[in-house]
Amino acid sequence: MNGFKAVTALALLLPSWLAAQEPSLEGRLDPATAAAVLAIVDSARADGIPTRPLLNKALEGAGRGAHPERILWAVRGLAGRLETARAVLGYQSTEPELVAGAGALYAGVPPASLAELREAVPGASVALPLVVLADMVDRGVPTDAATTVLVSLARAGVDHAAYDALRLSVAQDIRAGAAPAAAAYTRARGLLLEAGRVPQQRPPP
Amino acid sequence: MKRDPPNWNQVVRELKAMPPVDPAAPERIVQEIRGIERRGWGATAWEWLLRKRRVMIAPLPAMAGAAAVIVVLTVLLRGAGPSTGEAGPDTSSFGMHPTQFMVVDQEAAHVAVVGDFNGWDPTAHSLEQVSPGVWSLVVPLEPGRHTYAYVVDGERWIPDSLAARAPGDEFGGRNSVLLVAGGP
Repeated sequence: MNGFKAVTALALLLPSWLAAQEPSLEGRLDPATAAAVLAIVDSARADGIPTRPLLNKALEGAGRGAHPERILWAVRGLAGRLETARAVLGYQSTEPELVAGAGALYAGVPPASLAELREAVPGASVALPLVVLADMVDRGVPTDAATTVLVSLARAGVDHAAYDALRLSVAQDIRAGAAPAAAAYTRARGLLLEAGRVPQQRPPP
Repeated sequence: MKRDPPNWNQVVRELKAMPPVDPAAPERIVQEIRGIERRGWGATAWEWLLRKRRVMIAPLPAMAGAAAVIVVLTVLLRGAGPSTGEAGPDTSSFGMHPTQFMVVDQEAAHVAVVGDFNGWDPTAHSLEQVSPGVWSLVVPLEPGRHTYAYVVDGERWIPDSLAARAPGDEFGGRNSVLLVAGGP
């Protein structure tokens, strides 16, 4: 029966081992900074907030040679944004959605915009729309214009390729000198027309 | 009818007595062993596997064993799932997705990709120069959102100019973001 005991132990321990696969700070940060980061991570874990993004933020800081205080500041800030994103997007949100939401918040997107996007597609992932929203705001598209455009596309049920096409074309237009808001509206309208979601305007008789 | 009491000493003697042995038995045993050697261990093992035997299993360990097998198979099969490598969530079953990173830099002597998939370690994934100035590498990634950057010549961190921008320049540099299909 020893074999069965071993298998039982494996069955009981393996899921928790798999769940515990988190990046390690060992050898990447000085002990004091690592301990401070882990304290933030433990607190986040207790609150049910994803911890991998926090550890990765610390590792990014280590990789970039950032000052320990800067690393702690960045990790604390991300933890706060993840908590806000979860409060707005809902407790059932996935880790990619929460991280994308936290990124959008960092870019300056107000929490209300995240909620609006979630309401537009209640049953689907909002990770990709949030990534595109953050990208557009980061490139200078005003948050209200970017939100309006992304919510319209989400409600229209466009596919993933449409979101990527919007991101690329808006970035291209802005680089070419177009006003960011105009670029976003124009390109989104084009995608909605292509998807048959906007009626063609007929010329007056 | 009255029976005589058994003679216990005689009974014990008869029970202890060795059974008669066939004089040809030792020869038969030797022949049997030679036969096994001729068949080889593979055939013998096969016979052992096919031999019927009674096995007793308690339900709880058996269920735990089955659960362990399922978990292990799930982990192993994650690497064999279908992959598209394209950005965009929820489009394929879960598994590691080969994702191509590519940079064009004529001046670079070495290019690495760093991100949340390798602990931001510049020594983890070096790109190969596939043609002059063109650097490429395929990295298997978990489904989900990944932040990354390129490290040129070990010191210059640059974002991917074609990818979405990842908000978050707390450390003074920009990152890119990609979504690998099949995520939650």
